[in-house]
Amino acid sequence: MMDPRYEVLFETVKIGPVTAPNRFVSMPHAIGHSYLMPNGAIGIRETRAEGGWGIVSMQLSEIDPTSDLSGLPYERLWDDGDVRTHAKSNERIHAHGALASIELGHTGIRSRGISNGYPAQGPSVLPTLKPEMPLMARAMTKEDIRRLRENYRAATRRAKQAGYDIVYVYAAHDASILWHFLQPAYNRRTDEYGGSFENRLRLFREVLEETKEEAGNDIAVAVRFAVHEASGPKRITHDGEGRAVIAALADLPDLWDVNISGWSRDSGTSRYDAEGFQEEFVSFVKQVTGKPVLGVGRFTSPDTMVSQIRRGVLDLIGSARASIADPFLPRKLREGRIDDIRECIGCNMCVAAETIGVELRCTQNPTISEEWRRDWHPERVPAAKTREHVLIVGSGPAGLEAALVLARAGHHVTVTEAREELGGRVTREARIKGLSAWRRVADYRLYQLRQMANVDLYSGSAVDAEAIAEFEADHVLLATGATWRRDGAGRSRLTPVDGFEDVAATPDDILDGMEIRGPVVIYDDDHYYMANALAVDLAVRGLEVQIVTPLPTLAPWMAQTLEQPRMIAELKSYGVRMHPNTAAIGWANGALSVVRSDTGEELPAIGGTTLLSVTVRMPDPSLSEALAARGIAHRVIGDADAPGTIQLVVFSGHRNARELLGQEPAPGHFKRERPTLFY
Amino acid sequence: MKVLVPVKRVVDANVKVRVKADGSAVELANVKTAMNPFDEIAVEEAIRLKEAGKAEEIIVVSIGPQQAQETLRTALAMGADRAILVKTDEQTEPLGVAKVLKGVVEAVKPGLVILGKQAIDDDSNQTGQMLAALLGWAQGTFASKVVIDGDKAKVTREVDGGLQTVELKMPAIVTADLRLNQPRYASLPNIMKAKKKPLDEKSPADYGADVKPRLKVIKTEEPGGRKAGVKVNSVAELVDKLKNEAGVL
Repeated sequence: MMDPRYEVLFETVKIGPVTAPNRFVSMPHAIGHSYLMPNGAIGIRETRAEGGWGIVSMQLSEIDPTSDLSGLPYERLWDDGDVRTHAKSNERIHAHGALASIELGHTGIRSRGISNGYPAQGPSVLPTLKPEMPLMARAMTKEDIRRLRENYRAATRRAKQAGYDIVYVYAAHDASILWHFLQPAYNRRTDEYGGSFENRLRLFREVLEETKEEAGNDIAVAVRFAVHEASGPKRITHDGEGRAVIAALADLPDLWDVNISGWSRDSGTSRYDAEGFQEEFVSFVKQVTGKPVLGVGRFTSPDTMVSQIRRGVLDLIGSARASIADPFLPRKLREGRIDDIRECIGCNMCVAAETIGVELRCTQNPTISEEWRRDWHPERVPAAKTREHVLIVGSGPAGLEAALVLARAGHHVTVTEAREELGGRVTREARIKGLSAWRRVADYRLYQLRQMANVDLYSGSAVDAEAIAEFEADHVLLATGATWRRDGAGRSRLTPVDGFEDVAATPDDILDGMEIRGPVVIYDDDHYYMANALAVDLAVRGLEVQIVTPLPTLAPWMAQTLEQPRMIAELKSYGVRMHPNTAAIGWANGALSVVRSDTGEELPAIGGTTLLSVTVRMPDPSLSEALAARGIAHRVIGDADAPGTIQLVVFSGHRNARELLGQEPAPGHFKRERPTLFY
Repeated sequence: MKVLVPVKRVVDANVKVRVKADGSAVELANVKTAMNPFDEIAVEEAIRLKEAGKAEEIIVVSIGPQQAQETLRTALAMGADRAILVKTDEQTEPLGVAKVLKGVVEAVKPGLVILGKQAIDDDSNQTGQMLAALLGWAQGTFASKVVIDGDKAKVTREVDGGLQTVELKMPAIVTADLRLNQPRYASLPNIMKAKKKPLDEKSPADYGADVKPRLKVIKTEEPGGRKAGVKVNSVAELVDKLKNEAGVL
């Protein structure tokens, strides 16, 4: 039964001519399935509609070929040929009682024009918004503007034809042509589309008015607008032109969907932004417009959501990441199952999947993107044919995820953990400053497992091959994790570094509580969070810290999660000295000998008391080998198989459990999306 | 000296308890169970007495269905020496359990019986006291400290307003409170070893006890949900509400 505190979240909201069945909105966000992979994308959206989201949105859909995000998997609604796919998607959303919305946009000078040969276009001749790409955008003529407006109208007509209930005019993330015209830093025009605020707003207003006209009395029109720039030119602010735009267009749209810009700040991670972090920028909007207001802020707590509504900050709660981590969040709340919510940990692996151009991935929800092609459901596992006993050695993210899948299928599952504490690496790493939310990976699974009569969890229980043999389980899974190498061999250099083996500390030592004496020299050949998170953690303890990395920038993987600039600023603020493009060649007498990675030129040695080596993690194969020697069949899963990100090892746990259950076809042969062959 | 520790299989403390749709009882089907936490403390105390050379043998007993042997195995894995399962599928009540335990005490002849002060499922807090009455033994309930000295047991009790220390002539009954100790947990290797320890199966009839329920459950319901809070605009308003609405000032 629903807690009466949350009833307000299930009130209907009138949005122009349509009514949202509740206040939960699954946002338009990149899902890594472009127009080329409609089946997988429909699987994601239908699951959300089933999970109770009142509005389920289509990701950014380009209205014509001059908006081209080459290499990134976005949607298209260019012509009538695209309508059928959108209509099918909407049919599946509507079947569960949800409304469907589409974020129609033109990406202006964010476009690349590489794949189809139409150059990016914008208010003025400008470099495209990707400094590392040698591309320029052309200035739009009046004829181009006329055509853009006509294409927006046509896309709206098609959206209506495809059955959408809400159509967006998109002006956010520094990625919309309407925003680019509005932005004084980009708009250098001298005609009626440039100069004054009213002129820069002209195109935005025209498109909005014309979209309203096309929408008529049947579907609603939403505007997605970034009211504040936290990065980028920082010319549009919540107390300046951001507010002026809302005031100028106040009641023209049926719904205001507001956020901050750029994307990296809109999608702040748990390491840098608390839940609800956008409130200080968007809270004014409801005072300026009478129309419903939708916003985001990595909301996972229903109490925070209720608070946003009650305090008059928002009318609708938008979720991208929370709906990825738990597509059933609204339904669980409605059914009074708040403890069953799988909370987003705010790691942005979902964003990284998008930036590298693969299907959407999630640390907490391994079933995302697998709904259609693997028939994985986030909440249900088909029953096992016979009830068998599974022994899982290791209670880290892979072991717990496998345990949950197998227990849900009805097997009797015994999880044994050598340490006194359950949860493996996520429980341990969550103690590092900034990473506490990662504990949710263990918390969610342990809570679920502790409810189930067919699950036994044992901590403080190291087992060897003999004990495993004696246990006589029907299946054995080894999820024993991996440990950090001490010898300096890493990702860019595969061989040990002189002088590391006996003296270097590793992240495991620190997590085991080893006393670290400063100054500390961290050698980072891992390139994700561990080295820099520990650098901050140690600096906070008052230690002098330097970080040395052979790559040209620090932790480039954090560029994929949009965290790199903030991580570097954080290191800087704690006085951590950074040495990029610096390769270690040896540690001796309290100093790290280094050379430039690119030229090999010798650099001054970097002195310190403690050397902390953060390179790669390696599994220990001895238990698997001992089991093999006894002829005991088993699977090695997670980090023990291939050390990876938490997302990858949770996935490994899930996939191996499904394979064990016989619910997976031969590896690699999940359903594929095939292009049409015209020859 | 032998120490007898009765242990009860209850719904695991981590489980979110739900009431059956018809309100007849708590949902127990496919719900995770565990040893009553206060009984774990009682087992731990017995093990510590044995480790300190004050006890020779620890016998654990459980009265309940076949699955209660899992609970006994946990106690054996922690360090008990042997177990007795008094098997019954009846819904047991404190008086019936105390009667069975009286029979077990007479058969086993322990110098000390340590029980949990209450079980977390029905929160009766009666069995230890009833057993003491049936046996005519001294009782030290809500123990936070137990010291054995010859044939005397000094028991520090957690009572309202402080601690009370009583001296009991043994044989005696002690019921364990939360702060008596921090129980060890049963590791998997120890659970496996425990399978080799003796576990006798008996029935209530073997002890001449009748465990038929004498109580009737009229109704079972979940606690009411929390009401939505209100936001006050000033300290004065808060004080006013605390005084006039909540009546706590």
